[in-house]
Amino acid sequence: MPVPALDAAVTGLQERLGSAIVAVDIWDSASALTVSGLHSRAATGPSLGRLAEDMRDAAALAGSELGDHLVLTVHGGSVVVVTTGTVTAAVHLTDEVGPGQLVTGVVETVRAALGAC
Amino acid sequence: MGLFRDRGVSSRWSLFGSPRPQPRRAKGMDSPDSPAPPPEPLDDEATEAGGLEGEETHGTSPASRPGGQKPSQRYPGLPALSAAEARARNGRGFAAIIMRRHRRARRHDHSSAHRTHVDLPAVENALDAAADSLGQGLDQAVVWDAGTGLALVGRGDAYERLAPVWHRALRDVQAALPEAGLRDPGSQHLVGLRDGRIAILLHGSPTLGACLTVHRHLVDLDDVLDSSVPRLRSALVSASGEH
Repeated sequence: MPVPALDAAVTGLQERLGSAIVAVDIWDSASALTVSGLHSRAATGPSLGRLAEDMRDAAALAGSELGDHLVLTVHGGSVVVVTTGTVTAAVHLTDEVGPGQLVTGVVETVRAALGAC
Repeated sequence: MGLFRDRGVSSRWSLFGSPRPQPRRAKGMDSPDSPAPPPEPLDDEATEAGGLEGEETHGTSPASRPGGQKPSQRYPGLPALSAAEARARNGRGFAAIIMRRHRRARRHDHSSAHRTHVDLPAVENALDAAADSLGQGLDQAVVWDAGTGLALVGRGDAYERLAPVWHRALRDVQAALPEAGLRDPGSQHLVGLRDGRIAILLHGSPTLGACLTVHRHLVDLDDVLDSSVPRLRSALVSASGEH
């Protein structure tokens, strides 16, 4: 696991998204162990990792296949979950970022940051 | 011989000419064919205390007792008083208190008074409006009952099958976010699908849930998420009411 590269990705996200970032968690998709982050919480990786699996099942039952991102809204903000390769990242953002911008802008940004690792 | 109901003695049916029904007893007792039960061994203490006469060990049924007398206490550990005597002396114990508490709980039970009303024509109109604004970009749309996950109204060919699937997915999201340390889940969540579609899950009200599946490249997502989805959500909230 390229942990220094993931740490650099977190720093890059912080620079691009600025004050809109509340927390970043990056975990190994297979084991749900957190490998990097910013203000990360211990429960985020396992819980959202299991949720991604549930969504994968739901998408299969709906006759489709889960893509690489989820956008979840919470009180006062949103959480963008992006899976690339062996790692998954959850970026918690404030409500400064609008819902349309989350899908078109933030998902691409996180995808690019993780893809560079 | 005929069939009659002997109300005076018991509620069982009997046959005319048959002997008067006797009280029911345990199997094997008082049957002429069955042998008398063997005497049980007694400990010295009980015998010394005069608790059991030798002749009573062979006939324990009420019919075999002379004059229907109650046998003396067989085991020294059992209470000496009968249940009626103990109740007369000590009162009814805790039964009256427990019964009173149960009656009070039943009196204040409001669970059966909960009713849900959904204005289905209003939901239909809201879905029509969403379909008009999304045009060709709308793939499937479904509104379901949030209690059961059953489809109420929908657009598309498979909405009835999709309703329980997305209902469960929405419940999974609402449960997972607090577990992840993210309090207060919001009312809309997006699931990216691999074929270029996005499923927008809406937690419209406590009564209704909804999912819009849109083709990402055929709609303006900013417009959908900023105007169409909030309009649908507010229509669902107003269409569902609780009495």
